[in-house]
Order: sequence, then C-alpha cells, then structure tokens
Amino acid sequence: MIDKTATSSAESVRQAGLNAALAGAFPPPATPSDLRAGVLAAIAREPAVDWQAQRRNLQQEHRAAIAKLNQRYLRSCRDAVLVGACLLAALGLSIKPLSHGLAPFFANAAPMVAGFMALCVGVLCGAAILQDLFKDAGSEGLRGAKS
Amino acid sequence: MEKPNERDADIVLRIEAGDLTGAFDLLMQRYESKLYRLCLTFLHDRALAQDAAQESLVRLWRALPRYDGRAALSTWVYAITRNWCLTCLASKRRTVSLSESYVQAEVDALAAPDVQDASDQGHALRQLVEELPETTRRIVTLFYFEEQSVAHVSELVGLAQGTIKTHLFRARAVLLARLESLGLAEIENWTQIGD
Repeated sequence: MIDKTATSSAESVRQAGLNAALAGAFPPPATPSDLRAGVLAAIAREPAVDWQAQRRNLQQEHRAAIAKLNQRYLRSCRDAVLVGACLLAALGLSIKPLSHGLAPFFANAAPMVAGFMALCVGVLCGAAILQDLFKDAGSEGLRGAKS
Repeated sequence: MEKPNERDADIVLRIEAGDLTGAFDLLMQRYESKLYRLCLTFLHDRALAQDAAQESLVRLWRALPRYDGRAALSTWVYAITRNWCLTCLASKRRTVSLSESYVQAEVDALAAPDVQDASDQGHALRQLVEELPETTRRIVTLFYFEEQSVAHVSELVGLAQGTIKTHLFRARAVLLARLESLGLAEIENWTQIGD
C-alpha cells in the first residue's frame, strides 16, 4: 500500500519499492496439509457431549439472567422515584419552620428563599440517591453476568 | 468488503439450528489458513503455529455451543486463537527452553550474511522487521500475509484500522531509515524478493 501523504515522487517510489520488497519477503505461508486431519482426529478423541442439550441449557440460563437483570432495574427505578418523592415531601413540609428562621434575614421573601433552598437540597439528595441506586444495579448486573 | 456478520451468516444459522458439526466444517474451511497465519505471526515457528492453530480449532469446537452471536463470529474466532497464542507464548517464555527451532534461529542469526549482498535482501529485510516492536512486527507480517488488507489485519489482531495504518506508517519510516543507515536506501532498485 502506497502512502498517500508522500509528497515527492522520489519518496513515493521508495515507499513503493519498500512495499514490493516487503511483499516479496513475506509471502503468505502455505497452510500445512495435515492441519485439518489433526483437528478432526483431536475432535474424534473428545468425549461425547450432548451439544444440543448443552446449548439449550445455556440459552435458558442466558434468558433467565436477562430477566433477572430487567427485574432488578425496574425495582431500582421504582425505589428511586419513591425515595425522591418522600424526600421532596419532607422538605416541602419543612418550608414553614424554615421560613420562620429566615424571616429576620429575608423579611417577606423568607418563604420563597426557604422553598428554593428546600428544592435545591431535594434535587441534590434525589440525584445522589438515583446515582447510587443505578450504580448498585449496574454492578449487581455485571456480577450476575460474570457469574 | 463484506461485513463479517454477513460473511458468516451461514455458519451462525447452522449453530442456531443445532447443526454444530456442519457449522464447524464450514468454520474450519473458512478460517484454518487465517488462523495458521495468525499463530505463525505470534509464535514465529511453523511447528508451534500448527500445534497452536490445531488446539485453537479444538477449543473453538468445544466453545461452539456457547457462541451467542453477541460478537461477530470472526471476532470470536480470532479472540480465542489470539488468547491461546498468548498462553503458548507465556509458557514458551517461562520454560526458556533451547528448543530445536530456537537453536536454529540462533544459528541463522549468527550466520546472517552481509546485508550488502543483493541476493540476501529478503533476509536483511526480514531481520529488520524482526527488530521492530512486537505488535508492529505482527501487524507488518500479517499485512503482507493477508494480501495487504488493513481490514483483515484489523480483524485478526483486534485493533482499529486507524491503529493498523499508524503502525504500518511508522514501521515503513523505521525500515526506510534503517535501510538508509545500512546503505540500502535505493530499495526501488531491488530485484524481486521471494522465498
């Protein structure tokens, strides 16, 4: 193969010369004639195995593993949504006492600031929980796949 | 170039249908030469390469029921063969035995003729390729074994085509520089090399 980026024709000629020389120095080797016979003889010595049954079992195991992973993923999603909702509700309930505490600093804007703070904390907690849950589900999935 | 998945669709169909013997026959017809050449680039020795190719094919036979089609058949076949070659290489290095082939290689190296001699250009070039880093040497050798197809080499060694091209580009630059230092820079005037 000639290098397309070669600028000078002399360089191209050298590259082509090297290419031809390498092609001559490394001709494809002939495959040994007794390779196939050796393989067939080795296979004939292999103990008889019911491949069909083995393959069916493997397919069944594979399907079961995938179903288990899907189930775990759905459960993780449900848990994440529930935990997030509970957390946001709890934070929402804390707005009133929080706005009392913030009133000396923000006057009339205290409920809005408290709401905003609660929202921020809720979002952060929710994101952390979600990330953790999915990380757990992912590593369990990998463990399941490996086993 | 035909996609590996399309090329081996007939073999995969047979595996799925449970006709493992038929699938293996086709697989052996299609891959035995490639596997032998792959083993040869790893092991540097025809007898060892034949043994490794044979063992790889037996391992493929044993693993055939577990092929689930997630990777292209060729990728799977080459991965099993490469892994076996690496195992062979590791045990070869551990034993560091003075096997017949090793002694022969040493004798050849000691008896290496003067590279200025035009009749030994092929030998000189092979020696220079031997001096390249292991992966680059494998890629260069396979590239010429596989009729200069970057795509085939990429499949065989499991590296991206861009990486193969980079290795080839660097190898050519190194080889040209080495030839220049040996006073063999006028490679375009070399006579046709062959075994």
